[in-house]
Amino acid sequence: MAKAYSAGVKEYRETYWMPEYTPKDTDILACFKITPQDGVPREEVAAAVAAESSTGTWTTVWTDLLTDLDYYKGRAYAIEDVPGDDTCFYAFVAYPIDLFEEGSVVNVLTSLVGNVFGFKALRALRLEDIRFPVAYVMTCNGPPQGIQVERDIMNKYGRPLLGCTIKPKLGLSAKNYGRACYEGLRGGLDFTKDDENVNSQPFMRWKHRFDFVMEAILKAEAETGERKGHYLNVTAPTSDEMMRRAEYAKEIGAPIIMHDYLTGGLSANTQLAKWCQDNGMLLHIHRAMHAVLDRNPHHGIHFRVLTKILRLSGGDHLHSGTVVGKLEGDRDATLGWIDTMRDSYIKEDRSRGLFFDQDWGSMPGVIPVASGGIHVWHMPALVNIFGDDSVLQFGGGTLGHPWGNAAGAAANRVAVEACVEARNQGRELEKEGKDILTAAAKHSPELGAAMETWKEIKFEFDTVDKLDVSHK
Amino acid sequence: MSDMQDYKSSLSNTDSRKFETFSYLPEMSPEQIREQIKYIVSKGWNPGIEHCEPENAFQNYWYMWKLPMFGETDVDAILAECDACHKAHPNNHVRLMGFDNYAQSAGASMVIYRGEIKA
Amino acid sequence: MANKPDKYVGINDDVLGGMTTIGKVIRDAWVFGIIPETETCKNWNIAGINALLDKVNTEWDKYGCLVSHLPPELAKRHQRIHGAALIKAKQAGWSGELETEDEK
Repeated sequence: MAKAYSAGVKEYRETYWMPEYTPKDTDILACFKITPQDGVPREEVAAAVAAESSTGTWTTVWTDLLTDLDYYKGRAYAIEDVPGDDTCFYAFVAYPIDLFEEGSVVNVLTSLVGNVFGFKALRALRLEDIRFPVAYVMTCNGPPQGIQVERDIMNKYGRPLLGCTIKPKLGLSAKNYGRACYEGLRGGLDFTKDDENVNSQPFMRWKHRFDFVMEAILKAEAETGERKGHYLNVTAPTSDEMMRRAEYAKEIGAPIIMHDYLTGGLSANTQLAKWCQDNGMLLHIHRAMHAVLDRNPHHGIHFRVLTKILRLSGGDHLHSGTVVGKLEGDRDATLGWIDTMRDSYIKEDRSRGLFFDQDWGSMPGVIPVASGGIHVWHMPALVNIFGDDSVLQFGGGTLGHPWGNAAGAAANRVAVEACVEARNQGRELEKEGKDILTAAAKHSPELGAAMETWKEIKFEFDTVDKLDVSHK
Repeated sequence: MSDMQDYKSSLSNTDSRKFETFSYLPEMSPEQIREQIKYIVSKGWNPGIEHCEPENAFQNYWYMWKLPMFGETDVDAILAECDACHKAHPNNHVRLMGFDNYAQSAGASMVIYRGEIKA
Repeated sequence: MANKPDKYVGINDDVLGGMTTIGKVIRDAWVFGIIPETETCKNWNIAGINALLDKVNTEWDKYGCLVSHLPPELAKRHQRIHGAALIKAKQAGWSGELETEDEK
């Protein structure tokens, strides 16, 4: 059945399959989940993937210079079964660091996933994980501020941060939009957020929105005495326009801006992150389009790779999924990539979907943003799972409060503080969540009303999407 | 239509002012403060006490009360210093911090005595 | 393009038993006495609703947008008016989950 596949594949195995190779500390390593065409041996496909994501396309140029080819080629060095799925297997490939331009996640992706995914020998291909050597990490700028500096800028310690995406529920005027931000911030949120669809449409041009929102921030700060921010969306049709909007945000004194790094593009994102660092601006990253890449378990790019790419390109916040709430998610896998975002050294752990040790050196961390269908009853579980270094965003969970935005914000703020106090006291949040919230509601009618509005959640430990690991 | 009521605007309504973590909960009792001190100690953080006039509370830098209590694990000793600062500056906010020298940040920060805020 | 109404249907005929942004504005206007509780705002146009919103915002500004800051008499009115609205909305099929379920 070799019709779709020519005899030329034997070249690949000879040159690119090297099971005796020990990866160097400076190599970039990748783990691919390969679903091959029928009848093709694993080593050949793995070798083909290694070739087509490195020097394979250079073959005619390099055949005369075999030594150099040896130096630059990707090497498939290991193959493993995928537990519970024998339609596919894992292949591990090592790439010499000199294949890649310094500080360029664009170059890394162009090489690793640029050509190989359409390859005929494959039915499907998924990039599961990448190990970036510390040598390469150090060439990248990384998060503009990082978690600790963000806490210092916003003066918020010892608890998760709270946010809310503002939906234009009462007409689309910038003025009413600003008012909604003001109410949320005034009520107790730390941040409000532009919806990612809001760029600069005819119904609300970006400059008007920035102006009204900034006024809302200042008003809320003056009244509460706490630092506030709103993620002003600078995602734009060109990077020139993106920079114009970022500069204006800085001019009016905004502390934080927002960018969609996949639809805006990695080149634009890296540029923006560098600018943010030079200008003391926090950068919130949204992940629109990620599901196009990460949803199919056999084809695409796993989200943990996208988090690593973002950390290198630069961002201070990144949406990470919630585990609880409406979105399904394997808790262990989510914690795996959350640690990858925040920590400086993460050990290989297959039960959490981590295929390699990852050393970030002293690159600052990215704060995970939990957002999507969560409300006040989820608070104990969220504080427990995500810890203090997180942003918890309640969109409908704030704006849907029967008494309005400020009440929704106050309810969430009281809830998170009550949960943090209880956790510090050593109480078990997920077991005693209801009691903790009920006691706090005695002093907060807004929280009481919120608890009546949403149904109590019984947190379940079994979720739907499972990692491909055999259960212990 | 209701009668005109005299009111205080939000800026002059001092109930509006908050001071970050735990300021949306009622003022803590001594037992509750003790529990938070135990938490800071259990994390291996260094306690530090700071204070400030309420009208200057928005600034980053508050007055340090002596030095951070490096390596202090005695909850009573820490509580005693909090009280001493409060007695010495009864009109100021007093905040307790837990410095995490591994993360190079404060793992905890809470105002435990709330100064009276004048309009 | 379907006919979009340019006049408000009135709070008694609003969707979700009145648990909408406009509904909340009208209820707050009742609480603050800006309009009588008999006023359903039926047939008001968007400019009128917007003007009402501005008046309601001015009132909320006096109390820092927080129910817990309302003086006792207003707090009681708020409790009565919004409490009744919550019951009515739930009977009409509204729930908190409706507000959060379509989020990504």
